[in-house]
Amino acid sequence: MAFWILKSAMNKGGRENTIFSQVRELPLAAILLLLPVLICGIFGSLFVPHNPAAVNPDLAMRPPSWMAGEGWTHVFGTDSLGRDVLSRVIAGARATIIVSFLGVVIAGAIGVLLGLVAAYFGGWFDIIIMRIVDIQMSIPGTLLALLISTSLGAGLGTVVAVIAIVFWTQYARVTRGETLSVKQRDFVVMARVLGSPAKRILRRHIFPNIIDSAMVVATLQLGVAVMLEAALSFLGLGVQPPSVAWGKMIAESRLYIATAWWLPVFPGLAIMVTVLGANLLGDWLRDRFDPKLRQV
Amino acid sequence: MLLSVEGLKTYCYTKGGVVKAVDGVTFSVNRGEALGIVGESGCGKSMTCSSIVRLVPQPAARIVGGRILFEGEDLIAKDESAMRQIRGNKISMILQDPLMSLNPVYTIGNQVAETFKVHGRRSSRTSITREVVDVLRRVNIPSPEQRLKDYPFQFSGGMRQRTVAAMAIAGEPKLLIADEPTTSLDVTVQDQFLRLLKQMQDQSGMALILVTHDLGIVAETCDRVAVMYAGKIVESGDLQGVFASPAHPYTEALFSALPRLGQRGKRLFQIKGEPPHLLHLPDGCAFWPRCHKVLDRCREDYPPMISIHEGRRAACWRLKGGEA
Repeated sequence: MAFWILKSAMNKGGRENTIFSQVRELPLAAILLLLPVLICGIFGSLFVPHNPAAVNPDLAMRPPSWMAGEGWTHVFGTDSLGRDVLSRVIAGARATIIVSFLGVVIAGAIGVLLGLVAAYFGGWFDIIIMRIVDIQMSIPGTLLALLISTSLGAGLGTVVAVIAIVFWTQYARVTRGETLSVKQRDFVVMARVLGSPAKRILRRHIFPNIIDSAMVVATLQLGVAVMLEAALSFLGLGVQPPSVAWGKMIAESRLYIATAWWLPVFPGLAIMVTVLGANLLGDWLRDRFDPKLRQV
Repeated sequence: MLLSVEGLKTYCYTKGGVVKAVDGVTFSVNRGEALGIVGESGCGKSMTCSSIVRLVPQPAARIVGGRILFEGEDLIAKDESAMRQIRGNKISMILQDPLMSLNPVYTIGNQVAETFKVHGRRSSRTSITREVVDVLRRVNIPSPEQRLKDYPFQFSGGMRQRTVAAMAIAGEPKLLIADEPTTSLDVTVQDQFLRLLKQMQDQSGMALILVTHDLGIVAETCDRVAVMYAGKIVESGDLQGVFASPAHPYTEALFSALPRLGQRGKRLFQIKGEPPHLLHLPDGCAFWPRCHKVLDRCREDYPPMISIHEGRRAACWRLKGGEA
């Protein structure tokens, strides 16, 4: 008991556990970067200044409003078809969030389940699963993604499937390693001694003890998933019109880079902000939960 | 006869070769009896225990021979789901480290309820809680109703060990195996816990296998003793007999190594050398390089278990008139 009090006191540097100190421990930078993206993704359609798909040739290629000096109608300017760039950046958040979250969650579910089962039961199942992981990890992720999405055909579902298929291996590895070590711990042996079936042991005793690491992998992969989604839509393999995706906005702006810098820069910044936010969050989570950094 | 282990062999297959962790162990336990298994670290005590409940660390270790008759049925022949019905229900086990035997993320009440839930006593939540409180009271946890919602870290070492004991006896097993249950407790708590074991045994009539390297604990708790050395039982018999006149030189040496009251200023006796590496066992009797009574024959052949008198057996050539 005394040990625990002492330990928590040392962790907090003797500081009192006030609301202020709790706030200070939050990853503020990550929250500041990710929260706007999340809000745009979920509620964006409620506050977009213009219809992101509305074409208006009269207003084509307007620069950002502070440069043109003609009021605040098109803050980030317009593209070659006269669509509002700000509205499209906001609308693009939705595809990015759906695709990367869903993809990472599905990848996590598959990877964690296979890793758990492989590590707990071992034997041929373990060997087969881990060799598949090894083989897949030796294929460049983007190449695999291209292969899958060209054969499945472009679309939102395809991108989710691509992310799930490309990313599950990481979870399987991490989960397997953690499970192997948790499996040896006495409370798991105790549960077996008392006659608990394997399913119950996995769910009740092992899963809660490995989920931290899987969560860390998930947030770190979120950034990579956003990048992969952008890359696929850049190549025209992402979500299809009228849905908007940042990657596709950049692709469409290729021709005008020299004359209309705002076309690639704003979606590019959106991608950067999202990826940076996800990575910062992942780092923060890792510092808290990674068993290698955890003080036992 | 509740449990009868006959010629049990559990081998570990390592890169360096086959480690014969348990090599032809034979012993038996009667209903309500307490058997102490004594030996140095690495002599195969724990492996013998995990073999009985068929939980040897696979795939490295495997039971390769022998029979484990429990209530007349061979446990080695049983499949995993049949074994699951036996574990916790008929044979239970207490592990060495009480700090590690409890899952840090669940409350005490929740974990003790596990045994009841696993063994499908489909009773209501309140009646499970009542049973949990009952069993915690039996292991002397003070005010168990209030402590149900505590987490393991809020319990002291001794209380945690008692909680583990509560989990083990919750299914009212016929046989309780305690693998060095007191090694990580301090001496006063050790004593309390041993008395608790004894008390639980008297109340429920269950048999006990107590694995330890502490002869004092055996003397306090057990009816019979088996001494293990390098994967084999070298001597077994009733407590009084073995303690009064050890027949095997190893047992004898163990007793000489105990400190005695009134023997001040003298160095404690020490068994020379160190336990043999199980991969490089000497020919003949595994103990001969350290034995103070070694004969020529010991270096060549392993001595059979020789019956001294009823229930007393030891494996030593000297007992067969080898001295001549």
